[in-house]
Amino acid sequence: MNLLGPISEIMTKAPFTLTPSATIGDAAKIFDKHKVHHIPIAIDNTLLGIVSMSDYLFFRRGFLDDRDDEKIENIRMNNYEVSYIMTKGIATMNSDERINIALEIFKENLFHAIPVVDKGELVGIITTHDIIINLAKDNEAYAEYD
Amino acid sequence: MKHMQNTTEIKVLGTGTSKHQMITSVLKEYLNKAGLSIPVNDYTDIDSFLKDGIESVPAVIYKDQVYNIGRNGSFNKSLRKVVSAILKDSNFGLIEKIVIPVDFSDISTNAFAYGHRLATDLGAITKAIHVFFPSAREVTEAATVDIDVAKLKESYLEDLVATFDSDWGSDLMRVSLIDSEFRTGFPGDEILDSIEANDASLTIMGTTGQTGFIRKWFGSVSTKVMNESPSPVLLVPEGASYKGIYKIAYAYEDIEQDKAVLGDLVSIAEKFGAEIHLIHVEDGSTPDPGYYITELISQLYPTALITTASIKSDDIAQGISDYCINHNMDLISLSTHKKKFFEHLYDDNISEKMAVVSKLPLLILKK
Repeated sequence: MNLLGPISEIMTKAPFTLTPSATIGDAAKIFDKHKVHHIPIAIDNTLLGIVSMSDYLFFRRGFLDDRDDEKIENIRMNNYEVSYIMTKGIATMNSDERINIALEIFKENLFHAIPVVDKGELVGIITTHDIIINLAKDNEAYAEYD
Repeated sequence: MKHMQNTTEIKVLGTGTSKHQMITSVLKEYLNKAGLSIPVNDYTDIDSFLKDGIESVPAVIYKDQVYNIGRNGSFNKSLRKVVSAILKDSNFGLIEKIVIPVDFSDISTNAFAYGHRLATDLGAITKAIHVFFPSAREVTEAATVDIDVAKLKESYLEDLVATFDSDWGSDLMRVSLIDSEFRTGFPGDEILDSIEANDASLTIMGTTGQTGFIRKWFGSVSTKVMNESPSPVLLVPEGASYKGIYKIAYAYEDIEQDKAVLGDLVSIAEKFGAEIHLIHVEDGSTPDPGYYITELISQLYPTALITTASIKSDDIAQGISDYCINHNMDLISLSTHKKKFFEHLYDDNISEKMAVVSKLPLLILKK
């Protein structure tokens, strides 16, 4: 992976998004089905915030101990929009910015995803997972130890 | 604002930290909102706390009751409890109350979730009411209350309140405070009594969806509450989820009867900045009074965005259904006097067509 290359090379393009009025139940379906950890919240590609798996789990408050709880949890998730738990005012990057800048941002902060926005439109998302996946593609990752 | 007199002081004990200041500020804000003039005073003299047997600060003392405020993770939760306990002593003063009867079914739990969100947006208190109807055994004409079952139901109510009372997200005090009432007796009577005692501005009840919906409206408890409640009643169908109130459809018939409820309609629409869609339930016998109703609403709510539509009486349900689908209504409102309208809803032939409409909450306005 060329750390001086643009993040557009490794970012996830066209990520799953939701509108702010989608329910937390809608977010749960995406988390469960597609194994992603971050969902940008946008209207017509204009980014408004992001919902992470951590935000979602905080809302769920841990594990369920019986079926009755599951019913109430589903009712709660159906009655709260993602705008209720999303993080607003988040850092964004342009797709032509370098990968090492993303690395610096991740190193200095506790979050694991940065939406990529070009001319006001959401074009992708870069996560620590994208970086790990691309690092693993490098031959050096599989070099044998002497 | 009218203030209720109360000379008892609220003591906030602490060391002047930001959390201490926050407790004082939140208490003052809520007391002001409730119109209660109870003085809130800060105390920072640790020696005197120790003499009084206070074991940890911050703490709040009101009417000799000591409330410890938790640290870190439990701070928000305990602060909400203190505010709630102090305000409950004056039944939350002038803050609006929304009564939501619960029977722990999925439908009523969903209505409760919906109502709690609505109460948050209205800045109101959520009153969860459970009426326990004891299994009566005619021994000497006295009803025998099954204490164990009553206790179990009471614990269900506490659990429900605890579950929803922690849904505050990042803004701990914005979310509607929840108070609970456990009553024993005839559900219809007790709910009405609670509405009156709390001077509730709105009552929210769950209804079954789809085909059973229409008939369920006229079930004994809901009918009694709907007919006898002095304030509006909101019926929330099974599976309806709260997404804010942006568009309200109001089905009207004639101006003399409708103008009596327009105040409540406007009051709710104005709080949400919602559009009002006037749907004329036309039967051909009276001219459409839409113009006059639009004028009346405009006087009460000058910035209202009003749309009018007319639906023919031979297929009211389909017309309303189509209209609500095409215009993304959030709730339908009408007043209880609309006999003709209700007669149409009773008709089994149209109940299927009403399925879509029945997925929307129905606001019953009272004269």
